[in-house]
Amino acid sequence: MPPVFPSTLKDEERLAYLAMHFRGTRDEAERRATAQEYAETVHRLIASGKWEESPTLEEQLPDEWMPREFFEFWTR
Amino acid sequence: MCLLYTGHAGLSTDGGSAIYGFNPDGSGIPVWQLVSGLRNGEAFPGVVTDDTAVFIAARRHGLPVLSFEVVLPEPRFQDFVNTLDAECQSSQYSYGFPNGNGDCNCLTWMERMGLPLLTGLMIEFVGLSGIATRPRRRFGFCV
Repeated sequence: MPPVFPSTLKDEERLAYLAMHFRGTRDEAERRATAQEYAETVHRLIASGKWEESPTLEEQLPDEWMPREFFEFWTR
Repeated sequence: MCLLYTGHAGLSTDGGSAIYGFNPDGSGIPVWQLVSGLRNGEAFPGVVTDDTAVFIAARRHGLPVLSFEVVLPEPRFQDFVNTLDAECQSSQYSYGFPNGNGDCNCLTWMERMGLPLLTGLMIEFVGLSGIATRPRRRFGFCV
């Protein structure tokens, strides 16, 4: 079941909880859906122009599930 | 260096002269494989190490280092010291990132040690964002 977050949750915090949700399931479809929501959140943060702190390791998905734009943004 | 990036938590029984922390035992595997496994929800054997140098380095780099005291009555304090000694010899817990297969990470290890972290003030408890955001939490392999 996909996670439901309060609307007041900041996108930076959303990444942490999505990564946590991802780790809690081995269901491939659920992981894919979570990674998709993670990628959408990353896109929003990049577009905001106000993303100032990189997520910590435990707030990230495994590399192969991370959106490519994440690495492009943080290695600029 | 990795702990300065991820953040870390530790405890001390001598006012901070020595600070012990709970870490994953990644001996025998490259760091990238350890990190990848943790992000994938895997558990690794836990080890308790003297991480004083990590906190000193954090201060030196201007990173925020928070500390607070937990006062225990003498018999419970001695029990805690004995438990910490035993954990330093060989931890009974596995390490995992939150909601992964491990028993705990560096933060929740302090709870496993029986250390009361909350004051008991209701306003503190309901103010924890994780309570409202993520009511279900899992510790240990159970999926």
